[in-house]
Amino acid sequence: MRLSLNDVSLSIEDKKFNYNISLTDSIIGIFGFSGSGKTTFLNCIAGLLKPDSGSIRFNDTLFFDDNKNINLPPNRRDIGFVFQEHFLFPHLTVKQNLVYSRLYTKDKSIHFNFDAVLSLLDLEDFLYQKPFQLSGGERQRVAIGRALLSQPRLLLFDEPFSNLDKTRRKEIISYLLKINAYYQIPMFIISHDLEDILKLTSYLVIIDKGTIVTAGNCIDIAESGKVAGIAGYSAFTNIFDVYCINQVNDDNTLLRFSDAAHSKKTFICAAASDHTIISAGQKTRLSVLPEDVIIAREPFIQSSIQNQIKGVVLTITIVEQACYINVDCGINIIAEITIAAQQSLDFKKNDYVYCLIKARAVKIVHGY
Amino acid sequence: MNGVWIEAVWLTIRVAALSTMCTLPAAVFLGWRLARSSCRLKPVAEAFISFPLVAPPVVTGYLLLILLGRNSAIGKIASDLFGVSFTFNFTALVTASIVVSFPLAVRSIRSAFELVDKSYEKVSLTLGASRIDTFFRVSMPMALPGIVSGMVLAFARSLGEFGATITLAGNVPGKTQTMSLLIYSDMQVPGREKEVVILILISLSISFAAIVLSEIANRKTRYLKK
Repeated sequence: MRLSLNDVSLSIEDKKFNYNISLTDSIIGIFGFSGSGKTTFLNCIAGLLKPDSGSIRFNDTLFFDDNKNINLPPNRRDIGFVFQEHFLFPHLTVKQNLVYSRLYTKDKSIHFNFDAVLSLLDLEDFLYQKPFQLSGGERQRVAIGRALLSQPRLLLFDEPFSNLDKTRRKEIISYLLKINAYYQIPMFIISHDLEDILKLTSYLVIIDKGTIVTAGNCIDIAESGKVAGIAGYSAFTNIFDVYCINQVNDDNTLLRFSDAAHSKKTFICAAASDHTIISAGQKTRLSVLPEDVIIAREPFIQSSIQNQIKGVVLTITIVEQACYINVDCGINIIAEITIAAQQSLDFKKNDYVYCLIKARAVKIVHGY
Repeated sequence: MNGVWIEAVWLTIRVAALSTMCTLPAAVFLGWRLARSSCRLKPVAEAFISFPLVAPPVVTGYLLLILLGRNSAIGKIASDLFGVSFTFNFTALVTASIVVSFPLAVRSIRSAFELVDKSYEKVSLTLGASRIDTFFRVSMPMALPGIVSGMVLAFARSLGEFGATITLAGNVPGKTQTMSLLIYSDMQVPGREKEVVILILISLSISFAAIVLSEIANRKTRYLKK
């Protein structure tokens, strides 16, 4: 997959947008605050918004070129779009929604078979119901199935998890991973929740104030502190790609991770839940919220805190009512402390400190 | 019921039904365009379409007479080329009905299209449908309750049409005498109060039946609002 947007710019009322990027990864997460221009970015790709200038190319197809006066209409771009709200057609049954695009796919090669999509998304039980009779998760699954059955070459998801509870989110994320694994179809996923994106991909595009600020591997972006710097620290999550060493104690409740493959030196520990299935040596993505990190000048001896990671203070940033301390522990860790705590402890750049993190505060995003 | 009544009732229903059928396609198209357009001239177009609603019906009828009468350019062309006359006949009845009921239908239908979230149309486009297919497969079915209401309003307005009709089509018994005109004529004759009351009851019954049918149609499409 290769999608390139060359100097694509447009104005909507007072807001100006400019996108310049070339993307090749199979799942791309788009992150940014509300109103930053994420949806506008997807709408330009799908042809639902016409840019004022620039060009958009997907593989060999030129979607838009201002100079050549080319603007392929949305129905000829072969892009499946799943919106934040499901937007299932209320006058049609689930089955009629699913086969809506059948009239327009006669000349296309069929990658997504109706029965296979039904079984992949578990849609068999409510084919003859109307959308209003379904739950939020079921509607979202139907919307995904409907987009798949339009035989797209690219799938766009605009905040597909925003109206779902935690259980439903987990369910939809697992369906998306299944779709990507089975069909290798490229996907763009917008979310303002970094944790949701990280469960799906490592590749992030960060959009702020109508422009693409950075794009690349999430670990590189997180370590550079750009997500925090751009989207605000409150949106930031520490991410670690680490390797499971072993399950140390008898009841297998504590997992130890190293920051390098084949290393036995513990970098961080996480509490295992009943559902955690990670074997020794497996690469694993972990996340820790900045507010779950305590900064101390000395380690807490004889305490229950499993992670006491020594590092050097790189930066101290005060944003509104909170103070964010970026600590280089081999891997960068950002901690959120109160301004009062900073005033009393007076941390400075290059100070040696300990990042204290409870094993329960370390979330296992996924093992891969 | 005497023969004159039956003729008037039957003529009224025919005129109302035919004018509603003629009004509907144009009203649906214009209602949709007005709902989706952001053109600067939209208020002017809306004012022009709504004019017969605010103008006195007699004035509308008079303007139609000037525009479509035998001595007008349109009247002459229609008469010479197609042998059609727009005055004092069945065509005049239907024309007057269309003109006065059209704005009501357009307003109701436009509101119905405005209530259809544009995102449904965007979804349809991304699923491969053209804009025309999207209109027929998504926008129109979703606006159906409003379209039905618009039809009923247009039909009811045609049933009761008086001013423009009497000006353009006259009041010729057995030819252009609709129920409203017959009620008016009977009211002018002393001793015909009973006949007037019966005609009013017939007229109200037809209107009531149309509204009941519209409500039934609305109930059947309630899921569209969920």
